[in-house]
Amino acid sequence: MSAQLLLVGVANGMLYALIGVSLNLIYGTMRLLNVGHGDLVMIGAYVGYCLLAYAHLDPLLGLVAAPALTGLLGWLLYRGLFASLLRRTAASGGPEASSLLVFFGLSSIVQNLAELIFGGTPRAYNGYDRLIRLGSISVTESRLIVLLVSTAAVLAVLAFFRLSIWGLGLRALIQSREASAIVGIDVERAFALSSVAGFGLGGLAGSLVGLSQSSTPFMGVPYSTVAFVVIILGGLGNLAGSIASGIAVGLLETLGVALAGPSSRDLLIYGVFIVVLLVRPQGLFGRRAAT
Amino acid sequence: MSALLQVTGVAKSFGGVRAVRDVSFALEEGEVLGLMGANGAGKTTLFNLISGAVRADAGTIVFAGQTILGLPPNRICRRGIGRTYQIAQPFPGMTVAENVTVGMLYGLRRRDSSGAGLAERVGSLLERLGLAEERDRLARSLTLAKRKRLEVARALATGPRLLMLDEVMAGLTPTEAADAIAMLRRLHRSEALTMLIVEHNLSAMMQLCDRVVVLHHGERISVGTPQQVIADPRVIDAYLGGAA
Amino acid sequence: MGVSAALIVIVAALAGWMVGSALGEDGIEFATGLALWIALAESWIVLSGFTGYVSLGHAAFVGAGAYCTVLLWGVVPFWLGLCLGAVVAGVLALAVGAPCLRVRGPYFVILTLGVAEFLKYLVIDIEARLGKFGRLLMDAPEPGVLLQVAVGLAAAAFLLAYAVRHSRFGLGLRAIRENETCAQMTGVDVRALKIAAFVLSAIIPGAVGGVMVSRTGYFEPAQIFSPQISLTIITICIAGGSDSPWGPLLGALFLQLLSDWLSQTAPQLYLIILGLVLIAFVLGLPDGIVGQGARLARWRQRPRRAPA
Repeated sequence: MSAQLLLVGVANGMLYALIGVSLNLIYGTMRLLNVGHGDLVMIGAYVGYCLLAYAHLDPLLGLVAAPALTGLLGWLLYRGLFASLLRRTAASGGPEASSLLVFFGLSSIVQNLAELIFGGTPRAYNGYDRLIRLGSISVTESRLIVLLVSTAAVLAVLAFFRLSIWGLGLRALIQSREASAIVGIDVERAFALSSVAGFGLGGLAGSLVGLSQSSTPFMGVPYSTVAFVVIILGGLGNLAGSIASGIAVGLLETLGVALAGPSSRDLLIYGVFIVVLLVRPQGLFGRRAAT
Repeated sequence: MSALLQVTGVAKSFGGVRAVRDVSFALEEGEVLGLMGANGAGKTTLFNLISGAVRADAGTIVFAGQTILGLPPNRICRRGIGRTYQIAQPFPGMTVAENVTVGMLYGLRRRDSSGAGLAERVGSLLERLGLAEERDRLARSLTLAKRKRLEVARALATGPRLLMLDEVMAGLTPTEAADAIAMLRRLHRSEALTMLIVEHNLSAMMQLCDRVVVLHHGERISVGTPQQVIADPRVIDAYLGGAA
Repeated sequence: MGVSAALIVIVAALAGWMVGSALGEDGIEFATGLALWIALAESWIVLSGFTGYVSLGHAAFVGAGAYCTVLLWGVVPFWLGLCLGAVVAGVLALAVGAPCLRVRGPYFVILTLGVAEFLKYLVIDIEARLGKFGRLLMDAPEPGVLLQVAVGLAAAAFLLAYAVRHSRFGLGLRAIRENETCAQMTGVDVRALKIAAFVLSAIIPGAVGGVMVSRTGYFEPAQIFSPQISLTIITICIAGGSDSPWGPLLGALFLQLLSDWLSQTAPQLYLIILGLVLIAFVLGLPDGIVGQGARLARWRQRPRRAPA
C-alpha cells in the first residue's frame, strides 16, 4: 500500500471512528439501535451546503453549526421519544427492538424530508479541493481537514471519558444501567448528555463528509452500516476499540476501492457488515450477557 | 437393575471457574433425588448439563440406556426429560392452555395429536395442577406461584420419564410451598414419576426425597438418605464451617 | 371464527377476482396494490409476526423474484416466470436463513437489512456490468389479469398465514417468539422451525416481485430492492397487528387508502407519513389494531373468569 493510499485510508478510518464513537454513545449507554445513524451524516453535510448556498458563509462553519443542529435534534428526540421509551421498556428486556423500528421510521422521515426540501439532485460545493503536498504525498485540503478534525474529536471524546467524572459515569452506565443508578449516577441526565453528544458528533462527521462529497437525501444509508460494523468490531461501549476498527474499515475500504473500482464500495461495506455480524456478533452482545 | 439416569464424571468450567467437577450419581426409576448445596455449588449447571442447555467438558450422561451428552435440548426433551427453571419462564404472551399444548405437541416422544383428545388432555393436566381456572389467561398475568405451577405443567405435558425441578418453591409463601409439596407428592404417587429436585427449602427436601446428593464448590461431597446427609460431618462443615 | 372466517375471505377474494374488470382503471390499480401488499404482509408475519424474528429485508425476496421473472421475460410464459421467481426467493431464503437465523434479536433485524442492501447493490453491479441501466418489459399482461394474479397471491398468503397460525407448526413458532431457550427445552426443534418459517415467508413475495415489475413494465434494481418496500410491509403489520392473519389485512387496507389519498394530494409526503405511522404504532399501540382489540376483549372477559 502506497503512502498516498495509506493516508486516504487513515483519513477515512478516522471519520469512520468518529461515526462509530457517536453511535457507541447512543447504543452503548441507552441500548438504542439507531439504524438511521448515517442520516445524521446526511444532515450535517447539507448544513455545510446551506451555509454556503443560502447565507454565503464559509462551509467550514458547518463544523460548528452541524453538530449544534444535530445535537439539538438529539436532545429533542431524547425528551420527546427516547426518555419515555426507555422508561417503559426498562422492565421488559430493554428498548432495542422497539427503538430499531422507531429509528427505521425516523430514518424514512428524515430522508424524505431532505428530498422534499433539496430534491434528489446531488448538492456540492468545491471550496476545499486544493492539493497540498506533504513530501511525496499530495492530498486535498478537505481530506486533511477530515483527518485532523475527526482525530481531534475522537481524542477529545476519549479524554472526556477517561479523565472527567461525567465520563466515568457514562462508562459505568455502559456497563450496567441498574448498577449505575444505585451508585447515584443521574441516569436520565447521562442519557440526555449521550444523546446530545452522540447526535452532535454524527452531525460533525456529516459536515466533514460534505467538504469533499456531494450531498444527497439517501447518502447516509451506507454510513449507518459502517457505524454498525465499527461498533460491532470494536466492541460495545469500547471507544478505543471503535478507533481501531474504524481505521481498519477505512483502510479496507480504500484498498478495496483502489483494487476493484469505486462501484464496489457499497458491496464491500455490506459484505463486511454481514460477515462481521455472522462471525462476531458477541462484539455486540457478549458484554450484554455479562451484565 | 440399571439406573434411569447415570451421570458419570461430568465437569464444566466457565472461563476458569470450575462450576462442576467430576460429579457422578445415579437415579433409579421411580426415585426422587434431591440436589443440595449452597449458591454457586453447581446445582443449576448440573441441570443445564443434563437438559442439554450447556455442553459438558467431560464425563458421560446416560439416560434410559442411551447417551444423551451432546444432543440438542429438544431431542433430550423428547427422550423423556422435562425441566423447570429457577426463575419461572413460561411463554408470557401465550395462554396457560397454549403453554401446555406446546409441551404436548412437541415434547412427546410419540406424537398423539388427534385434535379432539388434545383439548381434553390439556384440560385434565391443568385440572390436576389446579390451573383449570386460569386456562385462557395469559401466562404473564399469573401470580408467581401459579407461574411456577405452569412450568411444572408444561414440563409434565412433554410426558417426561424424568422431571427436573429447579427451586419450584423459591419465593413462595409457606402455604403455597406446602401446596406445591402436596402436589408433587401426589404426582409422584400417581404416576411413579422419577424426579430430580433442587431446593433450598430443607423441610421440602426431607419430605420429598428418597436420597440426596450434596454439592460443594462443584464437587459431590455426600450422598444418602436425607437423614444420613444432614448428619454427615462433611455437609455440616461445608454449610457451617465456611470455605472447606 | 375459524374455518368459516377463512371461507369468507376466499369468497371475498373470488368476488374481487370476478368484479375486478368492472372496477375501471383506477379501481384496478387500487385493488392490485392492495392485494400485493396483503400478499407481502401476510407472508411476512409467518416469520416475523409469529417467531418475533423481525425481517427488515423482505425487499430482497421481492427483488430476487422480480429479477428472475425479468431475466426469463419472453423466454418462458408469464405464469411460469412468476412461479420460478417464487422458487428463487424460497431458495434464497433457505441459503440466507440458515446462517442468519443463528443471530438473535435486534442483531438479526439489522442483519436482514444488511443482506437486502447487499443483494440490491449486487444486482445493480451485475446489471451495470451487463451494460443494462433498467430494463423495459414488453407485452406485459393486462392490468385486469395482473389484478387476478395479485388477488390469488393475497388469498394464498392469507390462507398460508391462517393455516400456520392455527397449526402445531405455528404454535411452535410462537413459543420461539415467547422464549426460544424454553421452547427448545420443551421439545421444539427451533432451528428447523425458524428456517421453515423463513422460507415460507419468502416464497409468495418472490411472485409478488414479478407482478410488481409487470405492473410498471420497467425493472430497475434500486426500486424493486428498495428498503421502502420492507418499511411498508413492517408498517402494515405493526399497524394492523402481526399475531393474527387479520392484522395485515386491516393494516394493508389502511395504508393503501392513505397512499391513495396522498397520491392525489401530496405524494411526496407518503414515505414521511409512513414513518410517522410506524413510530406512532410502535410507541402507542405495539400490538397493532387487531392485537389491541384482542387485548380489550380479554380485559373485558376477565372479571367474569377470575373474580378478585
